[in-house]
Amino acid sequence: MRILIIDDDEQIRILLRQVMEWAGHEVIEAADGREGMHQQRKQEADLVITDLIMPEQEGLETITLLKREYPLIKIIAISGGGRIGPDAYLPAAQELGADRVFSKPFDVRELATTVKELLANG
Amino acid sequence: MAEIHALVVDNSPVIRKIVSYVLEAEGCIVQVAEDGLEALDCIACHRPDIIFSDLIMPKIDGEKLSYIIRNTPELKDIFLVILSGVALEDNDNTLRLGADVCIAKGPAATMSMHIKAALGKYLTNQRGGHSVEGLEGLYSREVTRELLVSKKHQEIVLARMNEGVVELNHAGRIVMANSAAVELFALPEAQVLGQSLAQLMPLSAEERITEWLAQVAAPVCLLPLVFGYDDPILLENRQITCNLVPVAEDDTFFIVGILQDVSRRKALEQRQRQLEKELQRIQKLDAMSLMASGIAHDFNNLLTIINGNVEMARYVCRDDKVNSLLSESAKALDLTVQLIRQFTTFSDNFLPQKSQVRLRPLIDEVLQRDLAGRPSISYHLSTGEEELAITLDPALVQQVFVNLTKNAVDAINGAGRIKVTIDRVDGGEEAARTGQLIANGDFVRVAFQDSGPGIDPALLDQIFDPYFSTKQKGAQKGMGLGLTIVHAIVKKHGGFVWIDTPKGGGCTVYLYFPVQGGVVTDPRFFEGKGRGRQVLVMDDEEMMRLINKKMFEYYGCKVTTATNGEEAVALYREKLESGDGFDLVLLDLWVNEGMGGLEAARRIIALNPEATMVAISGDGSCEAMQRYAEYNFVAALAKPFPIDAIEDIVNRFL
Repeated sequence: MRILIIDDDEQIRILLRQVMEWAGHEVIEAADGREGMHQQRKQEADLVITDLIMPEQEGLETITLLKREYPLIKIIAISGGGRIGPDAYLPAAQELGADRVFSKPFDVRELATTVKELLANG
Repeated sequence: MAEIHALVVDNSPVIRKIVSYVLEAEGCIVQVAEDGLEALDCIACHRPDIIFSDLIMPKIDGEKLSYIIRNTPELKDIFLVILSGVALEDNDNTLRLGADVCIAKGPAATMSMHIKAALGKYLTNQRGGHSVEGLEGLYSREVTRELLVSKKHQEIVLARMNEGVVELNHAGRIVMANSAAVELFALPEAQVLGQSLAQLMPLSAEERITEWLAQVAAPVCLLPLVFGYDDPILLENRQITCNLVPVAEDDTFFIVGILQDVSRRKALEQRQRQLEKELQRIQKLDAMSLMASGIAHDFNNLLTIINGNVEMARYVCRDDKVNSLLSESAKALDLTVQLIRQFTTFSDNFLPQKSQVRLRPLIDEVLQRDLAGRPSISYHLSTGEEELAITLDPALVQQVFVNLTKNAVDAINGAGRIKVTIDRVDGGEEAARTGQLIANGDFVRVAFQDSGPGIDPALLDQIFDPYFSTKQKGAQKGMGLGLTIVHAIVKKHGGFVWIDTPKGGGCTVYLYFPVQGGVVTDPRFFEGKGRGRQVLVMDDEEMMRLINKKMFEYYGCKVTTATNGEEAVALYREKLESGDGFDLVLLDLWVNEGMGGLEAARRIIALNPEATMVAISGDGSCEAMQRYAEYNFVAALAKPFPIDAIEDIVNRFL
């Protein structure tokens, strides 16, 4: 399966790539929402893991766009907390169409299990 | 006939002689005293049957002496004869002193006749004379009258002073006390006069005064004694400053004392200090909150990476040694994660999720769970308000009791008990009773008491400070954030917390949660800033409408959307005519079809000059966005904007 990882933090992308590749997936990366949409249009991914706070394009906007253009796509939103507290963005992300939400720091094994479940159900 | 004991009190030796002579000739046993104070000493040694007293004397005068005699149960039956040199000038006043006979001082023959008559009245028990005897042949003197007026005037000034003024003789006995001073001693004036000042004082002050008196007396050394503002005397629960100034008089001295009740000022200062401390604490927490929100995001990112890599390393590593090292790292990381979570609680922007909560079951649950493995610690939960539900964030308030329980368990350190009492109290009354800064209003008070050794009172001021701990620091014992978090959470609820640790152990944490309203430090918590407010969003992009709608709904607003200016203006007019109105309007400046935001804003402002409108545009650099105020907007948002921007709008305009 193809996984699109959108996060402005390169090390997070490296980590997630590692986890996903070990799970046997193909990984594409983007540093923000705009690039993420671009990548998705080029080489459709089955599942997107996106951060919520990024420059250029907000995660919430990206989620809305993705779900509109690719209704079947699975989305996992990750929030780093920050100004409003860890959980402020996540309910909004879920409302906008994220299938699962994680709050940083999260357990990578849990994330891997979730990806597996979502792809199996799709 | 039994012998008559008579006491003659006069500062004039001549008068003393004349009166004694007459009385002794009549068979009386006569004692003499120079002034009221000496008279009191004579009376204390041997109670006389009859007293002949002058009026105007140094130290305690005849007027005060009469007052003391008439107001002291053992003395009040003494037959009292006033010998007044100013009877003619002060007639009315003389008769008011409660004397049995009043004799004007005059020629010796006349006086001696009246003295004998007075003795006769004593023997036949004719009391309460209503006239002054011996006025014949006397004439009123203007100078005396004026002196008396001046004396009265000074007495009035003294009586009206807020400061207590006392005069002491060389031995430190009180011969004059104004009403403020009498009030400070909390004794009747009759008991204060003649009394030694030192003996009216608490022990420590008594010793200092006695020592000082000895120093002043031998040889006369006129240094004052001061109990200043910083070492006041504690008298009947009042803090009193006292200034004793010796004044030389002939070859001896007397002492003027000024007493001042500074309890009120001290209490005000104490309150001021408390307020400042509280303010400092809040500032400290604010600084932490700022830092917390600043670093939380970055920290969480870093922790994700560290944690993720450690987890993966553990997953791939088959070496037990390496694995156990990694698992130690993982444990520390877990604690770090918890710490960051706690930090974000301080954040001003942390939004409590409020609901109606009953405290008793909530506390019960925490105690039951957290004390489950500790049979040696029992707990008792009692409440006067069984069913009272208040508006709280249950998760946060649960954290409060988790932290308190943890502290209690650590403090008890073995066997003991925890007692929790829930009551409903009036904030104002509670503040008056405890001296704490509790706001006015209706509060639920939770008293959380443990049977541990208590806290050193000297540490109470710091106990809520971040990173302060009485426990040994370290990952296992805690970070010194427990009570800081308790404080932050209670404050977020508009409440108050303080700790009482009485001597002899035990420690009670008092928490106050407002039943309704109260002083709310985070207005969003109770008022629900933005809650129920009406927002109109106009944007031609469906996605933007959806995001804005979700975001404002997150803050509890009711959101209506429009796709262009015409629709927005129509909706605005409709709402206004229904008597309701939108609280906030967001207008996209450029739309593909129909009226844009600039024109819509002009029309809306024409409908309602007070309308609050925010401009939105993908082009933040355009003129209308830069100078939004000139286009009737209160703010301008360049797309894309983060949820923080929405939060800011809610805070500023709703």
